[in-house]
Amino acid sequence: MSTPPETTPPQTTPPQTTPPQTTPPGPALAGSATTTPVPAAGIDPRGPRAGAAVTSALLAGVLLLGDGAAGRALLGLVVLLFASGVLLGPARSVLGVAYRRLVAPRLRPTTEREDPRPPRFAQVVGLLVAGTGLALALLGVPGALVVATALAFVAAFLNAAFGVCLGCELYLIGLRLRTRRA
Amino acid sequence: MIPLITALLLATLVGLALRRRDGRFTAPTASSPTDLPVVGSVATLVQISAEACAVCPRVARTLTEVADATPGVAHVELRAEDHPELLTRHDVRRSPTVLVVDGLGQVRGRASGAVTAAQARTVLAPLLDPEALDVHAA
Repeated sequence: MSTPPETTPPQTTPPQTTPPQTTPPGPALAGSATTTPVPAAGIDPRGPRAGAAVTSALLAGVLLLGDGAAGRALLGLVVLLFASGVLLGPARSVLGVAYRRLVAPRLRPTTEREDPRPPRFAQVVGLLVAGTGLALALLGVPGALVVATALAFVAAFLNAAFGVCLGCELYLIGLRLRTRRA
Repeated sequence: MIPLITALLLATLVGLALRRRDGRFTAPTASSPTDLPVVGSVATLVQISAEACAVCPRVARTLTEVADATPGVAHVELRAEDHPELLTRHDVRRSPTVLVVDGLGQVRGRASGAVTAAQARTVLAPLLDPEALDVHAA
């Protein structure tokens, strides 16, 4: 996956300063203590969550329409939104920009900033699931559209309603499986 | 209609279950290896964080504040990518996982997800008990 150069969008709120790590590393694992670095171009954590709300509403629409021309077209739109999140990152994706222009000005400004990598990873997972479902549906696999859409809906709804980052959970499970095999 | 209702029900149940578990400290499952850093004389809050983790920075800030305000307690954050062996050895399934390590390197409690300051203080309370301190000093 190519990473475009990080350009900082004009922000209305001051960037958050990360508190310095004061804890020295332990003797057992000397030199290994780190703080999770939050890049200066951190994003408003409410942005991806608002995006997930829009995504889950659209996916609910696909489930209501079912596997037909309209359902496929709507799922295609969701796939494009996921692709924009993967390629442009959560700050510059279609829903990210829509949040910053339309929603954020109406909310209280927050100094809280989130690392944009986890939401981007979630977009990758969403793109894979929704994209596979759409491709299989177009190839004529029965039920593929509904199953994939339902999975993507569960993930988006969990993110929007509960703040659960399913992509993050999957990432750690993947990391664990990789080490076990190694 | 039925697929939507099924998905909605499933998502809500999973969400409620995860929220209930989030940040709740439990006793360690078995006697774990003493391979974790011991920095605080009373307790070290060892936070294992993956790179893809939305709540990890917030939990790190919270635990650093708790550690700074509690004498003998320290907070250490380890990158899961740098310590894959810890994931299996300490049965880390979610990120972040916070292990409460006492002054002797024994794991005394563990939690995962969005740990709050109040939850951290609650799990530290018995370790900060004067009697527990005496045992460690002996």
